Amino acid sequence: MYHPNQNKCMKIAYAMPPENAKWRPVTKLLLVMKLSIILLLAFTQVSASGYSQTFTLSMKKVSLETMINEIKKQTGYDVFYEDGLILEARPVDIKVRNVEVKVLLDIYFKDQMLDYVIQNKTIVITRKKAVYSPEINVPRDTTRVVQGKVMDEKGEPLSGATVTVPDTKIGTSANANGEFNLRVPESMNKLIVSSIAHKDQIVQIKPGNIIVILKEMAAVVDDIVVIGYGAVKKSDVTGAVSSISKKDLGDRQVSDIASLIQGRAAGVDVSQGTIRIRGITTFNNTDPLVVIDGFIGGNLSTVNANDIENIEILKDASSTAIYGSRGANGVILITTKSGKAGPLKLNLSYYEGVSQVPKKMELLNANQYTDYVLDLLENSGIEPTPKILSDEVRIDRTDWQDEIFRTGRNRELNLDFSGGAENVSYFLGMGYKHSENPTFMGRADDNFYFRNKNTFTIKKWIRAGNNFAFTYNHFQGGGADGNPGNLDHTLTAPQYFPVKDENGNYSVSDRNTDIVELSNPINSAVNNHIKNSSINYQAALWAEVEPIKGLVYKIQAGVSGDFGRGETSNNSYTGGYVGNSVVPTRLSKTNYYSFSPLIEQYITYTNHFGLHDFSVMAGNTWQNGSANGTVGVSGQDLDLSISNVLTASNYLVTQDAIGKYAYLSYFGRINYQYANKYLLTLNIRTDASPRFAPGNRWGTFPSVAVAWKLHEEDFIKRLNVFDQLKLRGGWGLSGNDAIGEFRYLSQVYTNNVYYPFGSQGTRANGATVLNNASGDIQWESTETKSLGADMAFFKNKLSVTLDYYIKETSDILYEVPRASSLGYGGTYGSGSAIVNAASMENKGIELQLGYRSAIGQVSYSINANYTHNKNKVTSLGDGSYLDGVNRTDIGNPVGYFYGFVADGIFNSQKDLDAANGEAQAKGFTEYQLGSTRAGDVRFRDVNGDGHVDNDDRTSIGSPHPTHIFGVNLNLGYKGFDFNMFLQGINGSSIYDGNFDKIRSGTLVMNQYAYVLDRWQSETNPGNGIVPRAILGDPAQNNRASTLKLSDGNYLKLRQLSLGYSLSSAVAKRVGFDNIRIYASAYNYFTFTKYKYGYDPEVGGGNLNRAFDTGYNFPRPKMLIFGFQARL
Amino acid sequence: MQKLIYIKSCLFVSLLIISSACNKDIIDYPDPNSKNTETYFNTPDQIEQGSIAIYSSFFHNFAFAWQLPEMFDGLANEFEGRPSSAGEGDIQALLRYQYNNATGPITSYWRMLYRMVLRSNLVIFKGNEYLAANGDDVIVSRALGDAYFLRGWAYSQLAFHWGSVPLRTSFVTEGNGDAPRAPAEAVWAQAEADFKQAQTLLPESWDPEFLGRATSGAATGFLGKLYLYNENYSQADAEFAKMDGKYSLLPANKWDDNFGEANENNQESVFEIQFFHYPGANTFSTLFGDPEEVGNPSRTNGHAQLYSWTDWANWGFQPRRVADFQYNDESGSSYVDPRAPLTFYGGTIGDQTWCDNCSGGVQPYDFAGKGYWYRKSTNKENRLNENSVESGNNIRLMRYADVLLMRAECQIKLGDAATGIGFINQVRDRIGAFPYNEAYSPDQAFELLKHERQIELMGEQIRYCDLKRWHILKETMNVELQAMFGISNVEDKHYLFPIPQIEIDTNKGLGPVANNWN
Repeated sequence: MYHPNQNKCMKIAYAMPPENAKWRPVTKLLLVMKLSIILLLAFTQVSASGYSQTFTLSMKKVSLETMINEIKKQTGYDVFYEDGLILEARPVDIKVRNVEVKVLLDIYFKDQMLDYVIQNKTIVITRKKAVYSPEINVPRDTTRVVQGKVMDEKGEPLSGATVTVPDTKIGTSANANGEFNLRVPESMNKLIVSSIAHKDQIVQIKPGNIIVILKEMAAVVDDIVVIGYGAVKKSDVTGAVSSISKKDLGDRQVSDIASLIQGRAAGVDVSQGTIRIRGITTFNNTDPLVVIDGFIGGNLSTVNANDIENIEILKDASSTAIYGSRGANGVILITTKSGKAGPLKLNLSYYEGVSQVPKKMELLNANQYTDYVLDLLENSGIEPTPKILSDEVRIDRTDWQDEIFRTGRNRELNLDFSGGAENVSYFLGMGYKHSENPTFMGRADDNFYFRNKNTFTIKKWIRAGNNFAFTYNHFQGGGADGNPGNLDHTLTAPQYFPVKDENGNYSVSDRNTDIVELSNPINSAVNNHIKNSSINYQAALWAEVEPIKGLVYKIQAGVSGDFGRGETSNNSYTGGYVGNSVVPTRLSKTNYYSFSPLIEQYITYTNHFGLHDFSVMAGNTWQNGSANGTVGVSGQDLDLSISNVLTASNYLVTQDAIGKYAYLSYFGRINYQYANKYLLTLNIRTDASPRFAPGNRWGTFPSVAVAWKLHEEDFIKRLNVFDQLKLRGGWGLSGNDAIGEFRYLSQVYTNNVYYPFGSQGTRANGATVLNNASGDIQWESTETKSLGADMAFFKNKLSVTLDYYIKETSDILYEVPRASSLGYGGTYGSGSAIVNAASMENKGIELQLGYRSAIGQVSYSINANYTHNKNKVTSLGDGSYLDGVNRTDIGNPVGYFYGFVADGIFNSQKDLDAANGEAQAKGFTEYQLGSTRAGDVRFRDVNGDGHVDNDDRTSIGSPHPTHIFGVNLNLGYKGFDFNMFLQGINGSSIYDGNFDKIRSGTLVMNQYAYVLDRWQSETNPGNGIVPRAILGDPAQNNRASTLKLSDGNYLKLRQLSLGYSLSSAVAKRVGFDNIRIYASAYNYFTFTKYKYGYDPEVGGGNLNRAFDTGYNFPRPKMLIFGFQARL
Repeated sequence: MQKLIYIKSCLFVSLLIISSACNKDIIDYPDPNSKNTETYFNTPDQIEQGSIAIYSSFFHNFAFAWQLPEMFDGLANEFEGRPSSAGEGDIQALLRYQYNNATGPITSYWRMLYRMVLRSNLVIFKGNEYLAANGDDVIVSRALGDAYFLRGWAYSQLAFHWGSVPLRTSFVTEGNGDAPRAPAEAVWAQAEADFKQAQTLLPESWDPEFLGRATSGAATGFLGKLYLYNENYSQADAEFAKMDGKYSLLPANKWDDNFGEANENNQESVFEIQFFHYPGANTFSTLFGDPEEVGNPSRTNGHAQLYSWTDWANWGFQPRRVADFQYNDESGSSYVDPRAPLTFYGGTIGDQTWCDNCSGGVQPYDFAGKGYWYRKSTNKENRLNENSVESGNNIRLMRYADVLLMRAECQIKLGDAATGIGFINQVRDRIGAFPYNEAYSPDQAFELLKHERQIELMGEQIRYCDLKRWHILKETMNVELQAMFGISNVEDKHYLFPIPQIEIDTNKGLGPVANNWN
């Protein structure tokens, strides 16, 4: 949505030097500079020639004065000249149509004694050099000639620099040697010297040659940073905010917004789609709040990545507190593109690409598999079947990975047009994207995006606008979940099975002879289908009135939500998930919707007196009637060509869930600034959440932040080191209520609770409780203390942002597992009580570096960011929380890995007897377990009591990276541009959650080649790490231990692209302003030690991070070719 | 004019802010998905629904629909793992007495039992609250009967298999539920008290719509069993005696009705877990997900699938058990018990045909190709295979033949071997086995009883409990394990199941658990 304050601040930004505003239209100059920088960055090649404004004039005997007036009128150019100079011009007949100003001027000045210089939109008229000599020019008595030279800091002459006298039309421009001569009235004693990309300088006129050295200007124009309910100049930001603009992203093609952010901003940790800002602050939902164009809680899937203009990430409480209860995990503000005043612009882009799985896992071949199975069965006392003993099963027939992995196709087309006039601006964007999962019958997605965004200025004091976004998604694929490879089946299927048997049927296993249960992944891909269609929408209208100057009232109202329909079905086929039973035809459908209306209104008053600038804002959020629901039906035995569940012989309602939500908030902010040096921001928000019992609903979240622009102080200016030096400090509280609904009540549960009595299975319906009530729960709050510095050096070529933070979350809504003997929980858990019990601390350092410069004609920029975060649980109700292998307890990072330390294997019965003997001497029955045998893993007696039991479990690794970094390199040479983007993490471990299945040597299934190194006998002990093969794992070799842990560090070359922009002349010839073609490669190289999964980027929840279930579909590598054109 | 607009807009703004500020009740709304314990279980029907939910606990994931029969039959060496069972790690470990405190079925059983306790406590709390406020109500009383009966059963199982466990007797709506282990005696005492309550509250029989629901007779049977397991033979016998005339054995030709889908909840049945195959329901969901969670109403039994050669073929009939059916009669002649061909297929004494009642006709049993397989509890006489998991066979937790044998045991232990033998003969007569006519000492009679229980109740998850309570588990199983796997690792600790790891991890108040076992 359009932010009025953004515009307001733009005005502030552009009205910077007031002292000579009357004389020099600085606003326009800066605007042009900003535009040209945008162009520079967008297309890397500056189109230097040609002003776009053209000129039409047909007139006889045109005086120079008339000319100047016409030029001003038609093009908005400013014209400077020495007093009286224009009278020296002769009138000329002009007849031109749509010519550039330069052409017109050339015609006019062809035979004049005068000459002209164009500097951007400024024309300076001078005498021709030849006549410009003191001998010829007799000074008038009221003037004197001032002469001098304009140079840059390196002493290079600045040709074309303008030299003007304040408050007059007197001016000239420097010649190729940077020299100037100017006739100046005696009463005037100052000159303003300016040159493009340099800071203006006012110089005192003195006798003799005046040497003027101009400093290079900041390459970065003071950007506008969107903050909650407003926008500020980047230089006035008091909190920790990371900005990512379109230009930082290059040709990044992404599946989701999380990937867009990954590696781009310090303090932001993205792993497999999960975004964590400044660490894990809670055990619950750590997803940051998403605000799209001011629409709070927006749905990221409505956003076409192509429509994004800017992403701002609010990281500390001093900036997130304005979002109060929902701000504790940070806030992501997305600003989409808008139309800008000016002629219609059209952008067109298209790419076509292919995607592939990045690697293959190394598995046992049929021969190795058979040896393994025989070893396994022998160790387990089970007679092998004749088929297993035959040579038939030693022949490799199928590499299941080759069968399942294919090349996926990707293409995307985007078209947008935008523009505006005095009272209206518009943006209309459309996109189509097709992406295929690189597996056989893999999931294929089609997305259609539409966005319309308009702004209307109705009167000077009233404006309104709309922002409608609509996304249609459709996907379909084979297999039960759209990933028909069903990776575990692909990996565990023995390679001696053919895909199809001799009769042309998909091969299945026979449990009696093959032992193994083959779930043929191709069979399952062909016979299972998934199909899903959804529409996401977000529509908002806004209006703002400014009844009194500086007082703005804004109201925005909108709805967001979605509709969707999912369908899974399967044919009747043999070889289902279990055994080789015949699966009946089935069709299941779910229909879902959500609808969330929102009204927000706020008043902002901005004013200044003297050196005091302030802005006060107050408003509220009203969100009522948010609703969502899902209904599912399922039918069996039907003709799938009809696809209507009612035609099934049996059908039933499988799901009906209803959600409701309401929200009420009040918020306010004060921004105060003194002398453009000292800044203060105060925020407060108070929220009511229906997730708590009536007495606990309201929470109040204040924050304060201060900043000091040191670079505005003289003593820093004198150092001549800093182009920018700003210190920031902040404190604030934000909250979180991200727990389920109605947990403060003990809910009744009736879903499928029944009992089949009698011979007819008469269903008697039952009802019971789902969970105990957690009646006392209330807001969890996160307190952030943050210190930061923004610095710029070397004429702004180098920018550095450094932040340090301490983030302490208290009253964490902690799902304390209930005793399993309380009787709650489903299949595995034990149910939980929610208490505000735990607290946690995150401390971190963030560093963001940017450097841009050029070597000869090669321009380059490097942006790097680094994050160090340390997480520690500081209190935890009563004791620890163990979720499988991830443990959470006081003094350790949340969800750290907890287990045994593997100390090699017992190579012989003698080794084992020795260990048991020592244990028995200390009064234990055995060292480990009675069932431990030679070839089993020896676990370490960590506590040294003489034997191994659960007390010997210890911390064996952390799932959290200590260091996170991203590096983005851009190079430009003439029309070429090159981008490379690296991202990595360091200091984390990965737990192989698929170990038991794929490399433990305890199952009759195909295994990783890892088991080739297993212990087989005293004389064939393998590598001393991998234990013997045995069914059922009697010695618990599979217990959580260091055996399952791997180094999780990685460095990924996420993006590599090369583009070429046609020269504008060539582009114009084919009717475009700009054309760029490019090729990009994504995820082509990953450097990691992690061997037991496709991707070291594992992801996971807060409490069980980096637990690789092995079913994560690997991020494909992708190669695309595309073009972008502008009209 | 302009001024007027300014004033108007200011007014408009303030009105809007005020109006939304007043509307604070938007965040007050009821849960659209469910009632809560304050607003529910307040009428007799709702309280009865609470009691139905206790029964539904039998379908806890990995419990009776699948792994518990495997677990108990496996622990008693009543089946043999076939190659297809290689992937059943948990059961393989149980077969070899290599299980531990994380072994699936043990944990599932614990969880299932405590789910029953929780749901019973809810009904007992809400039911008694209702009665106190509203006076007598027949629906509430019988629901209370269910709750006491099933809680009693759950605690008797917990006491027998784990001994000292947390004892929960009230419904608590808040808190973590940390609780210490109560002495085993206290757990037994609670079960005893509960069964007694249930005896008075439950009806003697039910109309067809509730056929299979617990009866006062079931409470009596389990109370008697509780006394027997505690070696309190006279009280046990007194309870069993109350069942005289109310139950009777099925005739020999109806023997299969004790294990199949036909004629369930019959005259011999004391208490059964009810299974039913609803055509069309996704039958796997009972096995591979908690049916209350997975949204599919299947209530089928995986037993027949797991024990049959045409289906999953995991567990064959244990060949070592064949000899149990061949013994000498009182004259010393070799005798084949008539229950042999009713219990298993194959060999010389097992059933030689199958599919006797199939539409496709009788099939000869190919012993050479198949080996021994169970006949009991599978549906092999009625259909070729289970296709997917289609067995609706109820699991008989107690049938009257067991009661008669338990009664015999009481009499023998009380010294009256002759009366005891009389009860054994009732069971033998029914199936046509020769009666024991000679005079036996109590010790001799006890040996006959042990053998009789073994063959009458084979594959009914009873032998393991018998070996345990007779204190002969270790020596018996070590001999058998040694012969089969070359191991003899049954230790004294195996008389009790280990306290599950999940309980150690979640119950902070549990107290010490020795050696991660019990």
